[in-house]
Amino acid sequence: MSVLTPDSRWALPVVPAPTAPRTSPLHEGKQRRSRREIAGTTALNVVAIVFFVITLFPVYWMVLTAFKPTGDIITPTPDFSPLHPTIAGFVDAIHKPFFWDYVGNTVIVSVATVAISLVVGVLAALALSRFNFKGRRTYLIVLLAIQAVPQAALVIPLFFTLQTLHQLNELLGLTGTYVIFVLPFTVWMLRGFIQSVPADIEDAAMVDGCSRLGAFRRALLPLIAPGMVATSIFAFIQAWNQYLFAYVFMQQNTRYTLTVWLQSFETNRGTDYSGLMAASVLYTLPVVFLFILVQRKVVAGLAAGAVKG
Amino acid sequence: MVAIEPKPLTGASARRGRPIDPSPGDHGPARRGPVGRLRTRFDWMPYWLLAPSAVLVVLLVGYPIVRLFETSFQVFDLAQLFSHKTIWNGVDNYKTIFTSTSFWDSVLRTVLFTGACVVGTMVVGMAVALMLGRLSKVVRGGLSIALVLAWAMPPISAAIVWQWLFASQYGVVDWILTELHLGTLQSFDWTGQNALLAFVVITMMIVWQAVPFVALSLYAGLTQVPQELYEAAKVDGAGAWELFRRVTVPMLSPIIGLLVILSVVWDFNVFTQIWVLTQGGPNGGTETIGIWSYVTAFTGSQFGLGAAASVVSMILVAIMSFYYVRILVRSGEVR
Repeated sequence: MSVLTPDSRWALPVVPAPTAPRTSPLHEGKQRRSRREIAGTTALNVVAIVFFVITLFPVYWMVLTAFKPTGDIITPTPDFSPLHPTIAGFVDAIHKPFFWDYVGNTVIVSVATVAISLVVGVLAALALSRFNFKGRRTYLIVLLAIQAVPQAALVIPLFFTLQTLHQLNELLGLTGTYVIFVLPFTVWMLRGFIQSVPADIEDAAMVDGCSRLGAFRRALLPLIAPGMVATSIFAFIQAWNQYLFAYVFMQQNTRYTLTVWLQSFETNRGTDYSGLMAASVLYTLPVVFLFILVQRKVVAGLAAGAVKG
Repeated sequence: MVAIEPKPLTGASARRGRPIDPSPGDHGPARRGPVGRLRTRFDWMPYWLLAPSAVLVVLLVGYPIVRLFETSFQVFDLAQLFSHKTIWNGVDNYKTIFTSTSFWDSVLRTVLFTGACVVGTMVVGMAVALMLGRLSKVVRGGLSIALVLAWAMPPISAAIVWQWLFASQYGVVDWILTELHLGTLQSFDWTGQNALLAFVVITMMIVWQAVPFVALSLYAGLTQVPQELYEAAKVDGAGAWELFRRVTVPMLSPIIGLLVILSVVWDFNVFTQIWVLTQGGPNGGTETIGIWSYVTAFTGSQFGLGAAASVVSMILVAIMSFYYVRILVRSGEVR
């Protein structure tokens, strides 16, 4: 089924997806088709190509602009082909003041968020999937509800709290605010992975002399390791994409994350879009790569859970 | 006439919220701990395992929410931010925002904006999902890749690129529209003059990023609808529209419902994209509740009013996500 994630449009698999039937009603066999049907299919393919162009164009335009020399960007007639690629924009972006600080800040906060959420999350997920105890359902609902809370609503009290704790402009404080949304999501996702492993495996390990925690560690953990990797990737992307908290809580210009830096990108020569787009590409690339690695799990999980009713 | 009873795929009990799980390995959390049967003592283990996350939830979520409520009943301006003196003023903040036209405008805007985004996303998403199944392999593969790329874009990158696409100086959209003879739009300011136009641009951007998830989810759902249903309906003489309305939609209604609720909550909470594109302008014309409370608190230094608006937005989201939680509970997801 699915879990709300703020600021990113994902829902996550809790129920492992059954493989979709190979022969779907949509891909009807190669029966003889009338001329009208063929015309219809061709028209549909043309419409699809238009959709393809519209969907891809913003991405294409970002990458294209990043590789253009500035002179080719500010032209009355835009140049749509990558004829004179240059990496000047990238060089420009990397040499902006504090660039590596921003990369460092973003990586540190994202990795710390993932580490905290994963360790704390796996324990909680164990409790929520392997034990029946009073308050379990309530806790699950609380975790779901947290994810629907608007970030903009939490900004005000978090600002005061961080101010009181002298954690404004500090990576530790920012990490704390990131954990708010990443942790519930991590717990839900890990819980799904643990549920897909039969508990008999731990029972067997305990018969062989493991303690209860030993059974979790030796028998269960290796089996959910791939799930933990996938969960970490999703959590990392979420932290990497976070904007609002970083924007409000990191006011000092050496403390920005990449998102805040991008949004406040100063252009040297008025409209230096090649530098800005190059910076966006650098920032976007890791996320797109990681996302493609784990994306299939998302849709399959949702479909499996939701058609079920 | 076609009359097809929509049947849940996994049997009748799925409707009644009895946990049904397609995966063979899942025995549900309801089972006792590994040796639970033998124990008569109270089992503290789950509470110990839960404790670290519970502590974080209370500190990081519970406490700020309490503090937000507190602040919403206080006079909290720049002076209080530094003096740390608490001045309670009862429900005055709520009175102020509920009599403020700019606040009500932001509520109305949020509702209309959310509605436009959700309708746009669902309609386009459904169209793309239906299309995906009928395309040639190459086109389908290409379209899927484009969808995944648009989906994977971080919101901030998306907003920055759209800003460039719709830039008033050398923006490519201006050029394309001019070439298509849809108007001469040199140096046309999309986001800085007309709030409605700014919303159109923002909505298109949101829909562009939201469609992939909806389309691919619906497409995955479509592949699980038994073909016999379509064949039976065709035998009964149903046309394409009837097939869609009487077979596809009823079969997919659970997934459609879930996608609508998820989209409503997501779109209601949109902040980053609006902030990057317009910062709430022109003249507050694109201020949604979130932006209104942020601007009131951090630009206007009226944290009490901002907090009150945030409380209102949280209550609205809570009402909307109630249905989401209920769906998950009924489907046996929250056991």
